Amino acid sequence: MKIKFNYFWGLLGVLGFLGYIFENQIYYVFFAFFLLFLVPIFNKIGKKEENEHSHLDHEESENYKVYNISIWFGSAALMISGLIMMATKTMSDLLAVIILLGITAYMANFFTYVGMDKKAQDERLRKIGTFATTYSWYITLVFISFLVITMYWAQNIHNPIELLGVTIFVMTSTMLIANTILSRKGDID
Amino acid sequence: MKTRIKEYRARHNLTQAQLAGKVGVRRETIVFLEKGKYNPSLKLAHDIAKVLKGKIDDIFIFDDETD
Repeated sequence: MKIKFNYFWGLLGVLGFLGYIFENQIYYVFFAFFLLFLVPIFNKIGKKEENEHSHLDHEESENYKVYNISIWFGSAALMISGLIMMATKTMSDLLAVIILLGITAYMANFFTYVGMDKKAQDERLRKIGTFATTYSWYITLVFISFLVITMYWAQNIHNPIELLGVTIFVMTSTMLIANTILSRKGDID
Repeated sequence: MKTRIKEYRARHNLTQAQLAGKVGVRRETIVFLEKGKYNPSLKLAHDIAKVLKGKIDDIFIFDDETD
């Protein structure tokens, strides 16, 4: 049985352990994510033991599923944080930790998710990912620009935390939706 | 676009996953190619034709009226 060490999971585990040392409950969130990210690894190992002759492509496909799960976790964390920021118009320690976890999950796996990872390049994923990212950036830019203009004209200046929440929510949700739709469709045309 | 990848694959006794591994893409890409839902790059079309020992024109059929 061979387990590859992943620095991202390792970091989460260490941070979770720090929570025990410092007796700070916020750090336990890291440990919870560490345990959640272990689930796909153990599933993969279990499947390997069932079928010793499993093909390398199957392993790559399973790896991609792990990256996919990670991106969905990251997106969920960022979108929920964005919604809370929009609703409460304030930040808190817990919210900062959730955003940190979300963006860490995103940063660790984003380029694999959009097919731009050097080790596992897939031209269809890259094509779809590039298109989805462009759409996301474009919609966010247009949305934020109109929001700023209407805010000024209506003399209804919003809280910066609320605006950052809107930006995080729109950017993450549009990327996820566009990539999911195009992945199911097969191509950008 | 239509493809004859499935037919050629059967001739060479290759699974979708094996073909995907040989040309460096994910199995899903081969699935969408076989369904005619994905337009491949020239390089991918060339690689597939090379693995399946056929001509690009024979494997990938572009219908001028629809595409």
